[in-house]
Amino acid sequence: MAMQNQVETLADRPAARVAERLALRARGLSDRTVAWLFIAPTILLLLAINIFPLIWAIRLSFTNYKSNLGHLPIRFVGLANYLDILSDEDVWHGLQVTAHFVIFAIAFQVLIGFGLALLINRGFRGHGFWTTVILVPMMLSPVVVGNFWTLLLQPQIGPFNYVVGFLTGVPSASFSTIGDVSLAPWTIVMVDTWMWTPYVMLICLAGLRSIPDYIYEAAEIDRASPWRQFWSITLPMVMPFLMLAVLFRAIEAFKMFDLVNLLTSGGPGSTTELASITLKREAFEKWRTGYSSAFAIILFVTVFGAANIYVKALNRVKRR
Amino acid sequence: MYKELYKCCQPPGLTNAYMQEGLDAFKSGQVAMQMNWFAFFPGLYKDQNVGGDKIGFFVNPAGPKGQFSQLGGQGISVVSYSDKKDDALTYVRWFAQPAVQQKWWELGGYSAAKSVVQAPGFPASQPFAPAFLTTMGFMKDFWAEPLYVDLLLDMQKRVHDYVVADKGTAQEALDQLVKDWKKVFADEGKQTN
Repeated sequence: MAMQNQVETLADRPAARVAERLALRARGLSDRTVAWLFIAPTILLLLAINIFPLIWAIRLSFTNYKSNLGHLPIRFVGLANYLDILSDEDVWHGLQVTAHFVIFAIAFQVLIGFGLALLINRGFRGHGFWTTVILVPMMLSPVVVGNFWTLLLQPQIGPFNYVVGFLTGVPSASFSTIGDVSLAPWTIVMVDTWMWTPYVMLICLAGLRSIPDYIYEAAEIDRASPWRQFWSITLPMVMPFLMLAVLFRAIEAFKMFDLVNLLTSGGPGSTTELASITLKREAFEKWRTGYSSAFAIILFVTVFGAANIYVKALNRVKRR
Repeated sequence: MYKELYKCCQPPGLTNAYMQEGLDAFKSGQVAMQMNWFAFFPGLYKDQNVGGDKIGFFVNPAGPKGQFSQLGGQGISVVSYSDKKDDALTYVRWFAQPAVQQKWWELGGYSAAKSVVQAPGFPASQPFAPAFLTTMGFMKDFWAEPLYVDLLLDMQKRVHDYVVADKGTAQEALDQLVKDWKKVFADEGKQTN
């Protein structure tokens, strides 16, 4: 026992000395200084990996710099890159393809996700298990999803074509969803919807679970129909959650690259060439670094501006 | 004509295919005929499903302006300022020897050395040797503009949009391509718009 006490005392001594030293050193520092000391590493990291590249890209966007010809002198071209982009028909085509993808993917994800959330919220037998099963797609890597959907949609060996052929009688090897000009834009919407509907469902489910039961009880006492309860209670109270889901998904869909690049690489032709794929081609195939920096800045400002307007609308809905 | 060929004869889904995709389509029986580099022919001939007596090799047909073929692959280059320049040249001299070139052909490599292709037994040495010999006779190599990657990417886009995605007419695709190419040359200071 005496031995144990001696050990504790010996072990405590250096610890106490360190605490004293720290206390001495920290004495005289204000709370604000200590707070800055804690967050400084994070801020430095953010400046290094987010802000510095952004400023660098803005600088490059006014030049003719090509990173594969880095040895050549860089020439300042003013707004020429921006004017080139805004007058380029291909860029506008890419933005139209992106808009089609964003609008329809979000619409389907919200409709199906909200429907699934309503279903899961009823609490039927085994709903926990089914919730987990439904969530699986969003847990997968987009690269994995892109690759296995490419196989699923393969005309000769893909089960998707086989099922469609079985149901419609059309020979399964006679068509290709990702190789057809009219089907490919809808195919990328379908795969993105498959992957991200669970995410929207999860947010909607959180919204549905936050509605207190007594509101529905009061509505039932007032003999409100289920339809009336849905329009007057459920939808308005879930609306901020839905809008948040739309915001998150819209930002992600606007930046979409990996999944579509694996599925179609922007093809057939440029039918599914989203703005991000055009940007990658300009930056890493043609190595037009200055031009692609300007394009990236335009996309960034577009998303940032649209998100800000949307957040203001979201705040108005929340204040109601 | 190229568009017609694409519409009639490519397997579904093969909208952006190069050598590997072409080989896959041929080996899996999706297509009965493909155009590809000679370098793959030894492998195709040995393939259990499509090789041996099931396969035949032939040369490119003539086009409207004559019958030509392009040399594929890369030549051996020696860096003029390298410290190992002498070693590199020694290797080139060794590799260019008739006996080495003959061995190279026998092992599956391709040789354009006259000592190999003009040898009496050459046409019978491999099933694809006669086609190779004929092709070498009308091979026409091209001087490659250093900007060829940018030019090819633009061409790929415009031709692809017209042939695969049915966008516009052939004339519009080529007019657009001329604009793209002028821009590429202008960006490099080689031509003013």
